[in-house]
Amino acid sequence: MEVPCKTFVIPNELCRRAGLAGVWAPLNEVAVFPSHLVKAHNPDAPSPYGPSNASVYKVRQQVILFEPILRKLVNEANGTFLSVQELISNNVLDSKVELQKLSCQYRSIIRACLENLQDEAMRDKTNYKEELQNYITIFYSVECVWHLCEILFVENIPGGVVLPHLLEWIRFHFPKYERKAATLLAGDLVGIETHPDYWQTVIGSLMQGRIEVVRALLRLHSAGDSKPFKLVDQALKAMPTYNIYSGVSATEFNLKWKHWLVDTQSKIDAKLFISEKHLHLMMRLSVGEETAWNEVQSHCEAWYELLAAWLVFTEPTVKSFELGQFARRCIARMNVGLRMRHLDYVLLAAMEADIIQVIKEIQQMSENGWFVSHLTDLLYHAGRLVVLDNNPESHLVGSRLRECFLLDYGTLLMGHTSLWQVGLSYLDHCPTEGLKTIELLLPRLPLKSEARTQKIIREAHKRDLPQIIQSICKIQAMNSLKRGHLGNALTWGIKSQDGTFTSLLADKFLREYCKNGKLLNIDLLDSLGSSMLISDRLIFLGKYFEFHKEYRSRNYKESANLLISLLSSKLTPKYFWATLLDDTIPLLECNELIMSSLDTFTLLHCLQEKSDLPELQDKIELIRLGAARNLSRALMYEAQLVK
Amino acid sequence: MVTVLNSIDTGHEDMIHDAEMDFYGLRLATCSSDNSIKIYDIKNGAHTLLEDLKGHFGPVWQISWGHPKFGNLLASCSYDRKVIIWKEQQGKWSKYYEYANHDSSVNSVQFAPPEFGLALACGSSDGCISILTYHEESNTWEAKKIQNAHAIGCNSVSWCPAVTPEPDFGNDEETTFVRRLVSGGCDNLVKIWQEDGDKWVEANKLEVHSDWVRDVSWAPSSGLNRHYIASCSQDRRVIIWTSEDIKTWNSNVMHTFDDVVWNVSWSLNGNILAVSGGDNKVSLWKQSMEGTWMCISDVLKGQSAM
Repeated sequence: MEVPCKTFVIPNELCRRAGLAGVWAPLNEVAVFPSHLVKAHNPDAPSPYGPSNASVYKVRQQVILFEPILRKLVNEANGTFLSVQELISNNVLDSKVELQKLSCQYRSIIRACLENLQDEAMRDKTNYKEELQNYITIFYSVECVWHLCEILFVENIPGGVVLPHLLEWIRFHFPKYERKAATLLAGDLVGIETHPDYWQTVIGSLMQGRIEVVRALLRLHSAGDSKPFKLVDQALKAMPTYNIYSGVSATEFNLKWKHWLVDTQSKIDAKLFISEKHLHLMMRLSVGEETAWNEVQSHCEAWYELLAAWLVFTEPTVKSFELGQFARRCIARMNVGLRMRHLDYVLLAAMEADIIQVIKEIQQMSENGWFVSHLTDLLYHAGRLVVLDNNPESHLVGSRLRECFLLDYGTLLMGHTSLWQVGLSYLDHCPTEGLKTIELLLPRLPLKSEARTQKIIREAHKRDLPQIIQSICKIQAMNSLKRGHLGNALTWGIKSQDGTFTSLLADKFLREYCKNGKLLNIDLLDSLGSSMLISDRLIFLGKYFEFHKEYRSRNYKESANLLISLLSSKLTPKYFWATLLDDTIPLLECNELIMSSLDTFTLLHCLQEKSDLPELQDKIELIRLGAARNLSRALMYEAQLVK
Repeated sequence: MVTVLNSIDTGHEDMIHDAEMDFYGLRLATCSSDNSIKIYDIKNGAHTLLEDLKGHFGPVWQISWGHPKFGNLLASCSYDRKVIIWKEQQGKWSKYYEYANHDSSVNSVQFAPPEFGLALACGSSDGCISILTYHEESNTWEAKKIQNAHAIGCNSVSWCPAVTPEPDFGNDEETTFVRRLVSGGCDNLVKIWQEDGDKWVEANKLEVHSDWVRDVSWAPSSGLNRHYIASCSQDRRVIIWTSEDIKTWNSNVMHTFDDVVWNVSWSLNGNILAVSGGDNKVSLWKQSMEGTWMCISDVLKGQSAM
């Protein structure tokens, strides 16, 4: 299938003169700008194009689904789509029946959308009205095709007796006669035939196979008791209708049908209806008289309207697989072969059971793939795409076909600020490429607010994508750090599992303490728990905070233990030694004995090792003195214990 | 149908050579023959000039945004033989690192996928490719150079997406990714490079183009264990190279255009290729389910305003 490429014009003089280039931009956009290849080897001089209008154009496929008025359609169809997936995954035995129900559900969503559009189009007085009319045309076609596909490909029609369904379809999409009949019956019944629409309605109803309505209308005619009317009523009453459940076999029915035809034909031949030309026409139509059909076919709006009518009276037992040939005959009969609209081609393909052609055609329906993705998914699950897999000449595989459409549709929705979660749910059901696509697209969603970020992280979590969560957390940490929110940065940094980065943040906390003697974000430090294990520096910070906490609660013994373990831990950053050693003074000078001789030896050892540190010089004597005094106290105390 | 969401008048005094949207599509950077780089905030349809970076002394050919997890970084390369990495700090952009170890114009820069760490590849008219890698612990940039990557010059470099290596059982510690690059040059060749220990070695030499290769682009991974590289050339052809093991590559001429092809650009999930060239058009290409490449509707063409 060759689709001619549409050309879209960028209104820019420089683009015309110089040429243009395009670069993809997140998520589904292309940045287009004037460009002319000049690289190296060209003289370094101003180009002949400057100074000029060097603009960048952000260009995107027009997406009507992003219109607020179609939002409901997108969301509700998503619900039905998910029900279909659930149904299939549950392996329900009677999934066919359920699938048909869900297909109806899709159609009622389209119907609701159309009604909404119609209301809005009536109300709207602006230029938008035209746009709304355009949407109505699109979704009317969608509804019409969907309904036929449901009958032909989803519904399980016993014995393939398709006519009753086809009539239902035609009645639904050409409701004019039904409406008129209702108006007539609700109005003044006396002299009903004087109404200008009377005969048109009677014949129209007959062609839609509404025999009861025809009889009711005829009875109301002021001459309804006359002989021709009585005869027509009898004939219509006697007309056999084929029904798979009536217990009548096709052969038996055909016999009855032939008999009825002969009977009716003989009445026509006896000129019993000739006095009433409309009745005469009706009877001639009933027996399938060519000339009669030639008279009425111009009243049909579309070939498929004629098709259904014609089948009622000439092929009442028509099977689904025979529809194609009759459809072509009707098209020839109405001589519309050269005036076929897009919709006509789709319907014809459906009647010819050419599912692939249907799918190819409906891709062109300019509703951004809403239709093709949902319908293909449904047809796939209804087992209708198996034909592809079994055809050695075709490179298409049913499951791939379905997935491709879902991928495109999901990707499209991912590009919308509030529909991205809906988009995800479609990608979730793409078994081969879905997850990878999510991996590529999810991180690209702008982290506009904390709430939105959490939402994105939750979605990543649901799909077990830890690397994405870590990356997002890291970005949030960088952003917090940029804004000077150190605590927030550390929270995100820990979640990002980035050891080096959290070390850098912990350093900032420790340096801040060295400078101002203040530990920031105490609550956060208090709740670190095991999460501090991702980096040595963070462990140090966490433990140092614990030391402070114990000291403040006057648990001197515990705080000393922590301090000593920090001193001997080899985790202490160089710049922090002076502070850490300084912290020992109050513990050494405490009234009661806090540090044992062993602790004091550890301290003295560290002090010796770090004695060259310049920032320690004015304290070192003080600490040594404290340590010596404490050591003597401790040794004496410990000596008493031994005794 | 296509809609123009917005147009940004860059105010550059001469031709623009590259326009790149940041990771989230919220900011736009452009570079021009007027030696400058401009950064715009393009949130919500409006656009505000955030920065006008002047640091190059020649036309600026290409720019590349770093991954936001490394902060806000932008790399640029120029005719002045320099590569500059710019960094935003406290809302201001300034020069963060400058690399001046090329002997001729630097034509192409691209930041690596974040899985490879903070790294930048640069291709130059001196025929060499440089790979700059940042080491966080020591706060230093390390440069490795591929000498004579392309005779007469390298026009374009593009990183391979990070692909998870075969699972190494019993060792679920940090997965290391093999860093790879593709490059195209004036020797009509497309070459694939692979890091091997502390060296970069040529893994493949792809020979089909019959004239200078103007641009190469490695597609984001589709998850189907299949790699796509698009290359375009002075010979008017776009070639799609595919591989299943990144070892053997098959070529497929996607299309022969009416004129020289300058740029190829993959969509975010690697399913649509944008091609632009001397025929004054940007066209979008997609692989059909039968495997052939088709121009999908909407070709963008320049025309003066009515």
